[in-house]
Formats: sequence, structure tokens, C-alpha cells
Amino acid sequence: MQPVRHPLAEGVNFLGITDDRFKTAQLTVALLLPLQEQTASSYAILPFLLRRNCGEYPDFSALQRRLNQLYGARILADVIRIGSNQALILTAVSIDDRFALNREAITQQCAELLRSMIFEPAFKDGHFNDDDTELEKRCLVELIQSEINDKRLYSRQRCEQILCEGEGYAVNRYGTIDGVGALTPEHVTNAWKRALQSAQVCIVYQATSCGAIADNLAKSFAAAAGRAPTPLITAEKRTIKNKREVVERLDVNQAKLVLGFKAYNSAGDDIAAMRLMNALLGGTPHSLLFKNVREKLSLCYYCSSSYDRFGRVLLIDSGVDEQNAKKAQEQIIKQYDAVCRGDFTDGDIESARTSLENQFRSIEDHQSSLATWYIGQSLDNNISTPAQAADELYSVTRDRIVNAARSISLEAVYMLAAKEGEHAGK
Amino acid sequence: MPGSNSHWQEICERHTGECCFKMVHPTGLPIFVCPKKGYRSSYAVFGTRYGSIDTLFYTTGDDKPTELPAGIAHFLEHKLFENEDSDAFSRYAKTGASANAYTSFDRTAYLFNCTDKFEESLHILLDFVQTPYFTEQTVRKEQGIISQEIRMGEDSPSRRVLFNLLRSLYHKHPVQIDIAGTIDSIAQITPELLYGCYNTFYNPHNMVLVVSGNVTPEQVLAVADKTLKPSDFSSVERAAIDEPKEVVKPRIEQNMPVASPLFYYGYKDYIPDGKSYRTPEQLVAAGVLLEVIAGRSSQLYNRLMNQGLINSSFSFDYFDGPGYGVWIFGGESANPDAVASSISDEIARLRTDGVSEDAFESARNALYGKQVASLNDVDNVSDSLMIDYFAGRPPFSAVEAAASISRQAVLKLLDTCFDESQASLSLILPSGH
Repeated sequence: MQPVRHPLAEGVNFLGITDDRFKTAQLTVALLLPLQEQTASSYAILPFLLRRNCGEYPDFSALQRRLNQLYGARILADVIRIGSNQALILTAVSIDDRFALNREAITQQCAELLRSMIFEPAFKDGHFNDDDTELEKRCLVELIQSEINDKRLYSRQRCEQILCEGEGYAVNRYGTIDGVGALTPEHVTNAWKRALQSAQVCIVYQATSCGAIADNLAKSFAAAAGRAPTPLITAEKRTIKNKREVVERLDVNQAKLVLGFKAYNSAGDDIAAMRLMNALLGGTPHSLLFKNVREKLSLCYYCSSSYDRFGRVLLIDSGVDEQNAKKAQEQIIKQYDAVCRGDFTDGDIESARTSLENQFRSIEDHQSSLATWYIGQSLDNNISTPAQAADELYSVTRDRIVNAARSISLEAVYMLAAKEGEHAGK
Repeated sequence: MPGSNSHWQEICERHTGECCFKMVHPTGLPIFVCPKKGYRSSYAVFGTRYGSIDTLFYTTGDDKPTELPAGIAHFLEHKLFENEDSDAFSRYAKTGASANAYTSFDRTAYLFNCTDKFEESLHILLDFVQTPYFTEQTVRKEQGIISQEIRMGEDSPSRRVLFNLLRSLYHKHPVQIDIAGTIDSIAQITPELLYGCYNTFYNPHNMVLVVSGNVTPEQVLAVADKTLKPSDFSSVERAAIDEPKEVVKPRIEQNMPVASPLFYYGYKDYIPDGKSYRTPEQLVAAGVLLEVIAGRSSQLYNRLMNQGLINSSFSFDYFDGPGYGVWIFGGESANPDAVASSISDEIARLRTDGVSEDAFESARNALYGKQVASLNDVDNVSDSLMIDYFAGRPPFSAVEAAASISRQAVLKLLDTCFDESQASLSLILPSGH
């Protein structure tokens, strides 16, 4: 069945998915705003602070006790990047009423609790309280600092920053350490008001029945004073730049090599072809990169590519010994060039298509994946189901795959490697 | 419903209505099928009771145990994907199935998820796992790939903090050894050793097949009948490890490029016979107890958070396997010693003050909800059925255990675990960058 977005207020869309297959109900509310250095920190703290500073349960341990009583219901706070936009996300997940030991009505209570968190925080003197603000500031700063702990993710992030310098895409979704450090309860309260006024909002509710939550959310958004949604950034204006190569050194054993490719303006709009090209190049364990760089040359444990359609960015990354990094890079470029020349078999296309089709058709069996799928489409005029995205793959021709590969260009090569003299060749 | 000629037993969970079918195939392989109405995908897992800890074992008629290099179970997992004339990934490429495998402490599992061509994918899974092919050249090639996997693990603070903790807790038990082994240990692996392990552990009597999702028992049985090879029964027994009750050392540190210290504070759980698992009731009681001690509604969690000693990375867990069990509290902290000492104080306080009926009830409700929610996804359902089978726990038993667990069961764990001589603090400290 084709899901339909119902407008609840200007720029607020509600997608209700009635489904009795799952044991849980899930309500996801995403507030989308352009990702900008000057506002990123004050927006990023909001989902965490709203969860902690709830009007109904201003004491966090009382809130958690209530959630435990509601059979371990969870309120999840997160910030994600969608292209050059920031999505502030709060999600309530609870077991469905059918499974409550005493048949309590849980799902409606959880949905209502989430609504109240967004609109009715526990203010003191008209703003978020000092202690909670300071606590969530500390947690957010520590979250940003800890990004270096995962060397693969860190390296990918550094490559994106170099590749997309000057764009919203390069701004950290959590803001900066200094930006978060400078926040005051007044700043954050203003950011909350601004977000409710200007965010585009995407709400996805998955449950056995949708109940009254859509009406209650509609009333709350209608009551938000001066609501005027800001347009989101759908495509950055880009000009071709020279390739930049950056090597950074840390106390590590394995080098992380990341190649960053960018599409320009409308190049990259052929999403189905881009998806297939990426799957064929490095998106599966039967792709060209896996077969050649890992299996034939045994240079690495992983070598894969991923395409972010919202940022129009393709990254290829691999963990290698530094002494083999040049060889790995040459081999990666060789495989990319082969795709640009159309030097791949019809079997390669078919394998990439069946693999992607399987990925898409599995999405509807996972509540959180389905919510992410629809929130990701907030930038699109029309929504498509995962099954429709799978169907679109059938029309993609070899020429379109080749054109997709040619429409991106390599502009950043990043390597995180061991400090000079340490671990080299170990 | 399964046909009358098969011997399927239906097992249903009363709170959720979740059902699965079980049979033992004539080849000796136990099979579980959990059809999920309305689901598009299916998830199959073919696992063997053979993991990284199985470096010392007895086979039928042995009086001396066999000893193997660390990391060999994981190496074997990699190598099984390659047959003489093809590799499993190329075969799956034709069905679209998303395939993978993993090796844990006590099992190796081969799996796929698919939305189409289920029978073909299941045939590939059963066929390649039953067709070992190892040569000097393919073993050498894999040593290059796995060396990089080991290097990657060496740079992962979250992995190091865990394995360092296990090294500080366990004197002899091989749970302390990294699952992938070391560059030196995998260099000792030969095709002959791999065939030896394969023939010992990849026997249908030592394995299990679990499928859930858009699937019927008949579909699974038809492929199993065609593909499974008969095998003589041979037994393999894990050697009991004479592991002392006490830890090796109470503290272990390593420097790495991290922003702030990472810690795991762990208590070793003493398993008297050196090889059994916890029961479903004990596992649920452990979950309830951890929620009471350090859950987000607990005094401890909120005090540590308000004091700036923990952040959103804080978590806790209990995990067990044959002959080992660990209570674990971890995260990032500027002062991990203060966190460890607060945890220890809180456990002592609960022993004195007791656990209130309210605190128990709400933690029990949370555990019940978690168990119910875990039945949503086909991958979780299949993996849990496999893990429970290997541990001797009935299907879905955690849901019933969570619904009916008593406060006494929780208090009993509180009284018998968490001795200070069983605790250790593992730290990853910033090396400066």
C-alpha cells in the first residue's frame, strides 16, 4: 500500500503506517533544519535536552522509572545529517498493548509522552534549567571528542570535511566543541523556539492503529507561534576543484585510506543508476573492489564504497598496511576506471541489482529501517516505498551506470597512518 | 502446517503467540523454523558449536586433549566461503541474498537474509558449509586478509578494553584470547589443521539450522533432504577448564589515541563445573539485577551522571558461555576509578538495604518488554534460537522467564556474585595525539 504524507501544519508531514506484524509501536519525530556551523551546536543539543528536561517528569530518574513500568519503553534522541541538513530526532518505542502483562494501554501513553517532551519542557524562569543544560553540554562535547575513537568512521568523516569544505555537508552534525561549550540555557531555549517555528518536520508512526496522536501533534504545531518553515538545502552549488591529498598521523597499527568523490549539481540525480554503480563497484561482497583488492590481492580486510545520495558523495575506504596503501589506491582507481569505461559484465549488473533489490525489499520488515527510509525522503517532493525503489532498478541500462560513474570525480584522498617510525611495516 | 510424514514439533510462547517448529533431520541436524506472517524476508543461520574458545577438546576415544592455535575457528569460517571451483559470495550474487558469517567465543555461524529465491539460497548455504576446500595457497592468501582484520582490532579501543578485561579476569580459560587470534598464531595454521577442525566440529550432530520469516517448515525440509549429507555420529567434548575463582589482576591499562579514558569494570562469574551455561531464569535475573544496580532509573546512574563521571556511552551487560560469565559496566570517564568504586559501593548498599518491590517490578517489566521487542526482527529471532539451542535453553524461554521471575531469584544472584576478589578494571588511557 502506498503510504501518504498528511500535512498536520505548514511544513509538518505525518506518515501513519498501520501494521500488526510487529511486537512494538514506534513514533519518530524529525525536525529538519539547514546544517550550518553557527547553529549546529545549539540545535544538536535539543533532542538530548528535551528528553532530559521533560515537563511531565522533570526528574530524569522518575521519567526512567515510568518508562520501565511501561515495559521498558525507550525514548531515543539522535541527530543525523541528511545532505547539508541536520535532523533532530526523537523516537518512542514501546511494546504493543496486546503484549502488556496486564493489558495496559501503553502505546498511546508513550506517543503522548514524546509529544509533550517536544512541546512542554520543564522550564525554570522561562528557559531550560542550568544543571540539565550543563549536563547535556558535557555529554555532547564528549560525544564529539570521542569520534576519534573509531578510526574508520573518523577517517571517513575527515575525508568528507576535506572533500566538501565550505558546504553544510562538511559541518559536524553535533556542532563543534567550542560551539557547544559556549551555549547557555537562553541560547538553547531560543534555538528550541526557532526550531519549532522554522523546521520542516517529518513524523512517522508505526503501530496497530494510529489513535489520536496525529490530532494532538497537529494541535501542538498549530499552536507554535509564528511558524514559518525554512527551505531545506537540496543541492549545493559546486565547482570542480583540484584533488587534495591529506595524510594525518596517529599512534595506530593500520592505515585507513579514504577516497572521496563528488557529483556536481544535477549530475548524480540519476539515483537508481548511482545506486547500481555503487553496488557494482564496491557495495557488496561480490563487487569489483571486494573481488580484486581484498580477494585477489589480499591487501585488506575491507575495501568498499558507499554513495550518499543526499550529499552526492561517494566514498571508497580500506584498512591497509601503510606500505601497501599506494598499491591499494592504484587498484581502487583501476576498478573505478573500469566502471567508467563500461568494462564489466552483464552478470555484474544483474548481481548488483538483485543484491540491492534484496536490501530494499527487506526494509519493510524492520521498523527502525522503515522510519529512517521515510525520514530520508524529507527532501523529496514525492515519497517512494522501498519496493518502488527496487522496481526502479530494472529500468537502469549499462549506459546509465557508466554515466553515473563518469559524473563523479575524485577530489580528496585522505589517509590516517602511524606516526613516522612507529609500526611501519610491522 | 507441516505434512504428516515429517516429525515437526510445534513450540509456542504463550505471551506473544510466537511459534516455531523443531525437528531433528535424519542426518542428525536439529532444525528450527519460525514462520513470521506477513514478513517479506527470511533469515537463515547454519551454526556449529565451535568457537574461539575451542582450542582444547576431546574427541571420541581420546584420552589426551587436542590443542590448536588461537584464531583457528575464525580462520576456518573465512576459508569455508571458498570451494574448489567457486566462492559462496559469487553463488549468492545470483540469488540476491545478503550473506555473512561470524565467529564468537562459543560458536561459528553462517547466515543469509533474502526476499526472493529462498530455496536456492538455502541450498547454497548448506552446500558450501558442507564442502571444505583448503590448499597451501588459499590459506596463505587468507593470512594476508585476516592479518589486516587483526590490525584493525588492535586499533579499536572498544575491542581492546574488552579483551584486556578478559585477560585480567581469566587465568586459563581461552575466552581471554582474541577471537581472530594473533598474527603469529594464524601463521601456524595449515590446510591439515583446518581439515582436522572441520571434521571434528562440522558434524550435523554438533550443528543447528534455524530459519525464520517468510518461510514454511516444508520449504526448509525439502532443501535439507536434498542437500544435507549423511554423517556418522562422532562426539566432541569441550575440555573442562580448571579456572580459579579469583581474577589474574585487579587492573589493566593500555594507552591508545582516544579522547578520554575508556573503561570496563568487570566481575568474573564463577562457573563451578567449568563448562556450563546459565539457565533462562538466571539470565533474566541477571538482566533485572543490572537494571536495578545501574539502569537509567537507578540512584547510581543518576548520581554518576550528575557528578560528571559518566556520559551517554555508559552501558552494562552480563554474558556467559561454557565455563565463563562476566558482569560488565563500561563507558568513558575522566575518572574510571571513582566509577568502579561507586559501582562496588552500590552493590554493597543493595546487599544491606535490599531491593524494593517497586524497583524490582519496574526492572522486571523493562526486561519483559525487551524480550518481547527482540522478537520483531527475523535476524534476532534466528540468532536467539541458535544461541539458546547451543546453551540448552528452550526456544523463547527468556520471555516466560521475564514474565514470571521472582525477586528471590534476583536477590540470590546479588548475594552470590560480585565478590571483590572477582573484580577487575580495564582502562584505555589517552596516548596523546
